[in-house]
Amino acid sequence: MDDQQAISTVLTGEVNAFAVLVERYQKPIYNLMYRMTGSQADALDLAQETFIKAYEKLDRFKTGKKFFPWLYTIGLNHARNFLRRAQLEPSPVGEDWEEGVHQNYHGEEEDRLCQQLDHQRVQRALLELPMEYREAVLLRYQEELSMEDIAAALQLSVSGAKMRVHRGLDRLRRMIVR
Amino acid sequence: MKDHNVSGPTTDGLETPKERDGVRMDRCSTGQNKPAEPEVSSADPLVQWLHQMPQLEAPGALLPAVMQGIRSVRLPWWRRALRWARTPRSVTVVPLRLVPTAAALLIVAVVALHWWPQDRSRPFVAPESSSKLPVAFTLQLSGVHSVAVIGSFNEWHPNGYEMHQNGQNQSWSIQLQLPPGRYEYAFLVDGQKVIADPQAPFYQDDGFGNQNGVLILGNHHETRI
Repeated sequence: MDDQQAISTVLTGEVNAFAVLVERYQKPIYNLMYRMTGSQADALDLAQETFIKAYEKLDRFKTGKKFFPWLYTIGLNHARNFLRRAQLEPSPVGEDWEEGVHQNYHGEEEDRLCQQLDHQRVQRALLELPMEYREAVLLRYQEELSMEDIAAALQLSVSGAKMRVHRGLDRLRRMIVR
Repeated sequence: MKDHNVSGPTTDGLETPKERDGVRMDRCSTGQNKPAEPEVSSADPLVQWLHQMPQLEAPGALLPAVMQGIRSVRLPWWRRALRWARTPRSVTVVPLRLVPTAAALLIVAVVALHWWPQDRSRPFVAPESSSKLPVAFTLQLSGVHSVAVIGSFNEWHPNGYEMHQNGQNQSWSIQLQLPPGRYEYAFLVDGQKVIADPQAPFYQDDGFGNQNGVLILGNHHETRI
């Protein structure tokens, strides 16, 4: 069942079809919330609330548009409101992300050390990147969204999205080598 | 978009993209010497790393929590009605079953046309009558060469309805014999300018921003003014 079919089914009253959308997009939304708050508990709550908000607004979703950028916009706005209410800045994430670099890689010991250094350095730089640049870069190179979809998710023009991705990647590169 | 169901969770709760071990960054390099371009090559080590970046697996509690949450959501009645109205629906039609409906609609249309008041469709046509009544149209107007009376009684054609000028008081007049009824009329001056009768008992807008005089002849109390 594709997104449009799932949405149509939900709108006809079959609430269980919404699970298809949750299963499909829970990981990027949860990770978005974790990047924003640095707390797994808050990320879980915010991701849950994002999906419920999306459900409540589903009748406003325009047929023919892509669901994920729309959902991402709701999630971003919800996270911003949460941070504003809590008077918090987007938080650097905890140790969980660093665990990812301690996995066993094949290859020589030197390669592995270099990889670990690279990964730690890039990951830290990514998390220090301003939120608007970080999300643009991740949507492009991790979620592999088109520029049009990134523009929709971040509520930018297409040229603005291109510039955001380009500058984000450039800043990330400079932060890594400094 | 990347398929989020491709990779399974690892023991530490972090996803490991399946291609992670197949693509590695250059030795201790982040590609900093590569010139930045709006569309960066996928061979860029930094881009490769972003592709491979581990993601946290969503907790198993998220899906049940969301589904429980939306089941408890009670949308207001207008949102439910709007949602119902905006939802595309399939309609199955059996042509044979449409025949009685079409026949009923046809009967209703015929009956409606039969009973439709005819004076609504032709409001300005004078009723047929054998007895005619004398009518005098007069207009006080100087400095013009010709005046004719036009109206619903002559299909708004001036030919044969030219008015005669009385030289003493500069008035124009004509005597006609018209059947009883309701008429709209105006004066055509010099074959070009149409003016309303300043002495008309009633006026009606002609639909183009001008007014016509209204004349009621005979005992037509039921006639609309």
